[in-house]
Amino acid sequence: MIQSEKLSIHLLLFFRYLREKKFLIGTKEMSDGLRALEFIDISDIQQFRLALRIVLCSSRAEQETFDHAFIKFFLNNNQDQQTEDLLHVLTEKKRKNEETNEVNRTVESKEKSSTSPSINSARQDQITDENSGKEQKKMAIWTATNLMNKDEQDIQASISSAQFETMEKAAKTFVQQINLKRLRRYKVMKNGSKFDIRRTLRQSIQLGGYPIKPVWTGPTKEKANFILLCDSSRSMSAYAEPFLQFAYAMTKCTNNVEVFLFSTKLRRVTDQFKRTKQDEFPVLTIKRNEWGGGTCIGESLYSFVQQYGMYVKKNTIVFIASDGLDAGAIDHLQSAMKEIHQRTSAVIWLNPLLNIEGYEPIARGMQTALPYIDLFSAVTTASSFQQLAHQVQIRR
Amino acid sequence: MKEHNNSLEAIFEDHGYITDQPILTALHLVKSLQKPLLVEGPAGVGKTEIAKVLAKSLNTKLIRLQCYEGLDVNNALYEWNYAKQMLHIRLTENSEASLEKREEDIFGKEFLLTRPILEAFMEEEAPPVLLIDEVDRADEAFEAFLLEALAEFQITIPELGTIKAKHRPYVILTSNRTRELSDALRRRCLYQWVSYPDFKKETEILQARLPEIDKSLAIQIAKLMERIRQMPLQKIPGVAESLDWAQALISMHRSELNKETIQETLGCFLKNQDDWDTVDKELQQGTLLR
Repeated sequence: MIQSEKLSIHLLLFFRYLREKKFLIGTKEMSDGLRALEFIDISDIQQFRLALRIVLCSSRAEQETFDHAFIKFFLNNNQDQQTEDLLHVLTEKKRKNEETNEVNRTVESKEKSSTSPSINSARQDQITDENSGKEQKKMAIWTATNLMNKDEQDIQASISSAQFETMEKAAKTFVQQINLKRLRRYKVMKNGSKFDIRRTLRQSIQLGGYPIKPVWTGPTKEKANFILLCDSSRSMSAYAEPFLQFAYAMTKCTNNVEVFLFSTKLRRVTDQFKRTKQDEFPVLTIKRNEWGGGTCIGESLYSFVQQYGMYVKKNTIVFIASDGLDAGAIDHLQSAMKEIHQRTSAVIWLNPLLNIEGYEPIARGMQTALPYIDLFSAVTTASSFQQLAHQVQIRR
Repeated sequence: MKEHNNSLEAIFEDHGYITDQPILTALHLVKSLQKPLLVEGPAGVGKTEIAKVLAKSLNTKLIRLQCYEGLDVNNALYEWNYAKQMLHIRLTENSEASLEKREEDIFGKEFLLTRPILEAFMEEEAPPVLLIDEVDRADEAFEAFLLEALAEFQITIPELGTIKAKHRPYVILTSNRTRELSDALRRRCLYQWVSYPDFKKETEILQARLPEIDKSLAIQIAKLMERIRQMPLQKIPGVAESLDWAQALISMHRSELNKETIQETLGCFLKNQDDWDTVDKELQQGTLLR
């Protein structure tokens, strides 16, 4: 049982911990969380948990993370020691961030106050050196490090910035190149081909009955949705990076994209991409058993269809990046692939092993999936992603 | 709060809605914190029903805004009755009133067509329940508009000024997750996920909504539905489908489920040919009724 004087500290730490887990918790949400506790019986642990859960979570995935975190913070016997540990770690992080910000501010202010061109160029060199240092960090190879407490079983996977501009061009090509069918319904547009007399007359009512502003309509193209499923198992650890780079580029080019990782479990990571700041690269925070483990492609795709089936529509293009080495049940893979194929416009399977001379897709996972694949390819570089866009054939 | 929850639970049960602790707590916090509640879940699990029953339990008006792609401010908030304004202008052409007076008249409240959101804000008697149904069908532009409305509960109409809600409505938003809602909207709402009920809860729902049903039939339907939802179906049947099926069985005077009865009534809860084949296969093999 938490002592009452420590409850407020514990709650604030809990909020900060959830914020570290990318929960949408600002000052207002923290205040609402505390206010919610005024209206419930806080001695009832179930009500206590539910009240915080309803206020602090904003999706089903967050509710699962919340439940694990709640047990850890409020139902664990080693609370006091954990509170101390977390307080120390969070304070250290804050101190390091403040130091970095202070250094940046000092450099900027010195640059501004300097008037001599030679001094300016020296400052510029210093800034360039610092930037290239940052770039080197960003260009670090695919790494995974432990986050905070080892008991968390979370790991971080960073995405490289190498050749990202080319990858972004490839993503833009994809979004622009994909031609779905024209919609039947005409929409209002400035340069439309059809004069809409009904809307023009309706609008003229506001103008005293004079049709001064003609309304034009025209056909629109159906927008494509993109779903990217990346195998993050051990066998794919060397190949997943370019695909995830492409996925990040896609999230920057269009809103209609969803990204998932799977190995033994499926995990949606779209939010982690979309919440990345403009000049930074995403660092994915994922569970240990979702990264570098075994592969259950069939079960993962099956649970994708079950949980996220509403995203699978006729205007959807599905990318699956996997080597097809499935350790799970084949029935699930067949059923999932059949459904995905039936409901979407194209299924693109990217298998890096196709680049290996003499490789044949005879693994049972690949054999099962092949009849349902529209485009089977092995892209691993940014330029090859760009070429892929021209090869996609839409079924509808 | 426990007593309050018990009374709310009892009121909901009287109206045929079987709730659980998370939903009751969520509704309690909607009233206490005066924040909107976003209810997500698969289709047919009773998300919309929460708002309807809440309105009945609070003895207040339910105002519903059904969202769709292309929904805009004119259809959600207000529109001027242009035809009536034109008529008024023609009729008062020769009146002695000044131009300013006539202009003031034209933009009076009698010419304002209030749509659901403005209607909810202008409710005089008691805070209504504003149900924004299937908000995921609306587009992002409408979501951006909702942010403003739900943050301050006030609307600015250029001709009339700012209208602040006299009574803050209880706002319930539902979503079937056909697309992801923006973070900004999610932050402004409390959140509750409603999933398919378990066997026990579904039996209670069937008995509450269909008092004439046999208890043993309700149990059989609930058990079978629990099994069917584990199958790899394209469209998993929800509670609405269970109720339709139960209603059909009652009207056919069937008191128990057997192979023939299920085969005749598959269309009550399966809406897809592939799903029909999947369930029929299990039925023929005898695994469904085991």
